[in-house]
Amino acid sequence: MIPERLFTAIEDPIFSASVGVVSTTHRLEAVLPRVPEVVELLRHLSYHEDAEELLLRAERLLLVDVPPDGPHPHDLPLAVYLWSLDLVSEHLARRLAERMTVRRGLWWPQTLAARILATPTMASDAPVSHESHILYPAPPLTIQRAATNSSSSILRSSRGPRLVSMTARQITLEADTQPQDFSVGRRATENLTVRVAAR
Amino acid sequence: MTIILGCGTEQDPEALPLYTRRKRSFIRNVQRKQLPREVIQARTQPNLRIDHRIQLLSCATTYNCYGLVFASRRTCISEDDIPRVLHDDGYRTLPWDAATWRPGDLMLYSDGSGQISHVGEIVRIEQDLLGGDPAVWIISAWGETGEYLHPVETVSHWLGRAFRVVSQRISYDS
Repeated sequence: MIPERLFTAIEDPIFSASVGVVSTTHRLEAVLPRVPEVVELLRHLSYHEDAEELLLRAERLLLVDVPPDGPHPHDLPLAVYLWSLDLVSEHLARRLAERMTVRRGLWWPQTLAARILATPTMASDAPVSHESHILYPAPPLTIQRAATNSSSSILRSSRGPRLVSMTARQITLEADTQPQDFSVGRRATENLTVRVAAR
Repeated sequence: MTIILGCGTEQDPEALPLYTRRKRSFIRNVQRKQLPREVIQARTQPNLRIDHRIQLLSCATTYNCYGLVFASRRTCISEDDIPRVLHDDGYRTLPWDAATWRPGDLMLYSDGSGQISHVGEIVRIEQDLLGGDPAVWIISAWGETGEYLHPVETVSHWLGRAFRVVSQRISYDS
């Protein structure tokens, strides 16, 4: 169980004031492994229950009221929680990242969430009910940005995702997420909506 | 789920059209929101307690340290682009000797890994009449906690340590 005092310390404005001096999310990721509160948090996350507890905490924080056009009051702590979850559980980190994409006012977690969601799912670390598993090689779902306006070259992958529909600002793709359901050895298909920043 | 691809790139309508001096490369940038007054007041206090000589110059949070020096406080610049900016904009490294530095030169900070972690602009160099090291004063933006005037080595420890000075000055005797 993660001590409440640790959550309180990370969610304290003093924490955001101290760590929030860095210039970019990349720098934030570089300093977090040296922040004492984060080091302690990571020690707790070796237990799956604690990682789930952290996810629930982050989901609760996400839901607080955000002023119109203002920043999320827990912007930096949420980035810390997402970064920490990403180290221990791809499944839980993706879940949190997905929820973040529909919330307003997030700055620090933005880049992290985009990276996590754009990373191909290698294997599910969700609890499974079977004793034996069939493991498939991870499909190379690497999404790469191309500099043309051609629908076929905006996103390319050696094995999908496949283009379903495209508007001026939004592309919907369908991708195999085979390893996510490896416990029963069947394929799953997931829709992925990508908003492309285009002039 | 929604992912924004190309955020801050040349294709992003929200990004400012910002190029290196040679116009070879687009400088990726994103404009950050201004933090509300009560939030920024709380963020500045720990920084001001680091050293009494640190002065808060601005509560602006819409640009980062790179945006301050390379984009006139307009936006946040990705640090991945900084080596290219330094090269294309004609910056050269000066000797680690304050006698060769001038206001307008840039002080680069590193966390020890060799990567640039922070940048500030030299605004004042005060000679020590007793022969000690001169006091070098820097203006820099500290993440989303405002812009400060501070002695060169007096920064939050998360910003790293001063390790290189670069300059765009053209000197006919060099």
